[in-house]
Amino acid sequence: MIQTTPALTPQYLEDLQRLTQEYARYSRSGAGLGSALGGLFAYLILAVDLIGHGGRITFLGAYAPLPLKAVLALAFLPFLWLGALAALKAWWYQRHGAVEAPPAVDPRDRRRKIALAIAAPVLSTVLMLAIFHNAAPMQWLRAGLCAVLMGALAILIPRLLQGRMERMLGALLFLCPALLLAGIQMAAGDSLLALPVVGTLAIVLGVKEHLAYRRLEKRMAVLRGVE
Amino acid sequence: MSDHPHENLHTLLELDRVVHEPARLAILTVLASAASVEFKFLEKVTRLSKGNLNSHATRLETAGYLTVIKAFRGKVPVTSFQITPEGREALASYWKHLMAANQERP
Repeated sequence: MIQTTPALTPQYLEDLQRLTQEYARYSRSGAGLGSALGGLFAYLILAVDLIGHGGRITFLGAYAPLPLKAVLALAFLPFLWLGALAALKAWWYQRHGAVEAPPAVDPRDRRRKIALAIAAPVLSTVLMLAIFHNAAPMQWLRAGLCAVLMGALAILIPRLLQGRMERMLGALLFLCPALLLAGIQMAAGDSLLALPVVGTLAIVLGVKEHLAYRRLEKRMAVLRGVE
Repeated sequence: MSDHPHENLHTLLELDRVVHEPARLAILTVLASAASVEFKFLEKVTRLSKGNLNSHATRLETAGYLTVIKAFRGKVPVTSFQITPEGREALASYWKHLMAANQERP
């Protein structure tokens, strides 16, 4: 098909600029279906927590270890999510060519990184103490995995995730399996609300973002004169 | 309004010819909206052929308005472009001159 450059009108240039900015957003903060998948994972963690404890809800901090296999599977989830997120961004949301958004300059980012760098080792230590104090089965493995999850929380989240929802979801997906590894039942604590609330928000916003991307593709086709 | 009838023409003649070409103006507009843009995306949204896009990009690169980044994604070569601060300034200046010429129109 022979295509010609469209007539250069201010409207065309404005459309071009807006379309590029919106498309570029999906290279950083727009996670689309990646967010929705993270939301589903949040529900999965909650379900494993509740089912693993036979539907019994103890108070936050109560020692109620889950079977190691279940917790190991949960500890793998945040990494699986990060991989899926990167794959979706590269192969789906940037499939018309990679367009990188300008880096968002937020002065609070540095403070967040420092806060996470302090909080993660502290929390990791507390969880490891809980594991050894309760003499949980396979305690060295549990303690090691807790340290890995908390380390990943401090290092990967501020570097790989840009959107507010993604970061909140990422923090939750790394933190909750670490709590479960330490044998702490989450269901009666904050996570009783946090997991379904953040999970639902992530699913709704993710689907909304994905639909916005589909509309963007249609606009792109119109601009290209394909439709 | 202009005092001299040719002032409008002078402003128009001052326009940067590199930026004034429609295809190049479209390319710079896209590049100014992102940190870096892959060849494939530019080709799609500007409706330029590969050869045309290449020649316009070379012209812009020669003028110092963009930089070409060549990399590999796996075994596939990928070409991306970045607007330079000079390119950004040239685009802003172009619009400023055009607006001025429009205002001076009797």
